[in-house]
Amino acid sequence: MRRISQGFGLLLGLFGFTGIGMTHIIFPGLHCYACPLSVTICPIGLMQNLVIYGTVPYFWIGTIVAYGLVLGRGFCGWFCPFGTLNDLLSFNKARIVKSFSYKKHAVLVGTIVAAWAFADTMFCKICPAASIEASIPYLFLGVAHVNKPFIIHMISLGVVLIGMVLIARFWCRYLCPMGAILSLFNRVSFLHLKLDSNRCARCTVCTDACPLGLKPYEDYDDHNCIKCGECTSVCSLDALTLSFSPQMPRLSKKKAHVPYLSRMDT
Amino acid sequence: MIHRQTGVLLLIAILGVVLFAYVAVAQESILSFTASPEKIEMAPGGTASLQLSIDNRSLHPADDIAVSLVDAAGFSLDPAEADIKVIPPFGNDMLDLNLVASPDVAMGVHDLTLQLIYTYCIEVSCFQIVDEVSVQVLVTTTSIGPATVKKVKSIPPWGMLAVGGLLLLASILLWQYAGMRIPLYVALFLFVVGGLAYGVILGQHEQAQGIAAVLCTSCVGIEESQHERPVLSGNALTALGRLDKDLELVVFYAPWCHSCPYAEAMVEEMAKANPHIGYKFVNVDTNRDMAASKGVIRNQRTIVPAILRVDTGEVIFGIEGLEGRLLDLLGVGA
Repeated sequence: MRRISQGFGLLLGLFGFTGIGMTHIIFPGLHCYACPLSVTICPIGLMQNLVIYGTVPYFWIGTIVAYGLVLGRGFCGWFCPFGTLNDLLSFNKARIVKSFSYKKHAVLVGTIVAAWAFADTMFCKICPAASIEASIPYLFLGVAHVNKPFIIHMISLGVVLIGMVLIARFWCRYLCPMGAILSLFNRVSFLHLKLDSNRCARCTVCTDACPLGLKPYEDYDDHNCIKCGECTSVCSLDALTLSFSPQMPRLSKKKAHVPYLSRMDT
Repeated sequence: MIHRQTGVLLLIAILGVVLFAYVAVAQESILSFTASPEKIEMAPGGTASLQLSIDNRSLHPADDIAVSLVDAAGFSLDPAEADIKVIPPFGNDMLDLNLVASPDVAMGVHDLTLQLIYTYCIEVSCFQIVDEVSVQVLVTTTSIGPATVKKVKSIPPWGMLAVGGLLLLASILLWQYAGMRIPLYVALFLFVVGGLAYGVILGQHEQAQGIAAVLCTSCVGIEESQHERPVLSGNALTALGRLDKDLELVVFYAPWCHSCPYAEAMVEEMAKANPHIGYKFVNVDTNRDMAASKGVIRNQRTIVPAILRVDTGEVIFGIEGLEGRLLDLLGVGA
């Protein structure tokens, strides 16, 4: 099901092959609008341009909040083509370093500040998605050349690809500014992970399956969670489920307790 | 107590809103316009004087300020398009206009719109900004009192965002401290509906589409922008000397494109070196259809800078190795 959804995300990302020009749709993931086959607008590229223009971004905010409210980071796990590339290279599901995971928020703030300070789309010049979707295609189309900006793009892409191979979802965990934006909505998005603590045996099989290296049995609403559902499919006790409904708020997070197997023992 | 992770994310969200608001406030008011006299009354077929005072409130000069009347049936400006070349930082200038009413204009109050287009540059980055001043004119044959000419007061561009930010903050606090989830969902829903509706009313969806549809080669790092005026090499001057027939080049540019001034300057230099070369500059922001019809497009992307040789229809893109490629385009390359 998720693979089909990711395939649909990829198809939408490359829908320009049909001859449709650029639409008014902001893409719910990291996808370069300069890509010759793109028909949607990159949210990060647009954000930088709006900062440069000094436009109060009502349309952008409305769209992004809508995406956040519906799926939150679910778009990273189910839709984003660059997330799909991360998935394809997910060989090592290392534990996440939580403090490093806020780096993507720093990248987001840095992207905004750099656009404002230099009046230029600085992030686009090192964006690995742009490396794949713009630099390389335009080289073959005869518009780009092997020059300094191209080499910078390739270095950036190379570093991120190595990171992806060494650490599953490396880009999504630590660096993606779009993931940083969507993570702000993870605790209110309609698509969310639910934990039945009465069923949970704290066996950590979900942690082993999680591409982000999270502990779903504890932090099932973590802002890093991409809601891919890998943990739900490996949980033999059905303690974890993906749900689509408004989330119940809590005053403070309660750790899962009274594990199922412990109760069985008594 | 707010959970630590939620606290950090809340702080980031608030910082983000403040940053956006600051950016919007800091860069929004570049030029301010005041129309005078404040009170005008005119008869059908009559003419009224209108003086536009323009203040530059920014650190950078505003260039090519053009004023025109849009969507004003029965009215015209004399001159039809007035302009000011440049207003220096913190400078002021006046523009005297004549508002002419046609003899068959309808009686009553008319809301006219003066459109002001200007270019604003920060270092080498230039942006074309469109602003409007609404003018209310009373057309009457009898003197029933003065009409008012004023800049229409509207909601400040950041006003709604500030209200939305406060609403969101309040709803998050209600969620965290009172456990109420409905206000947060209502606030987010208002953000979605309000943001999309107001954004579309302001034409921001068109702006977004326009930004994405035009590819500036230096903006996504396809090539490096050049900020110094090009100097033709000796070989180029020799090659240009071989060109003995008239031909025309069209340079397609966008005001915000970083590479475009270099391409424009290169063509100017070649035209200076050989008078057989004619040229003109076309802004793709306002001439997208023309750019498409001339082939300045690859896979639905208008790419700038692009140089078209009119008689052959050949197009070259970007500024990488431009001198040599331009000589090839002119048919005098090595």
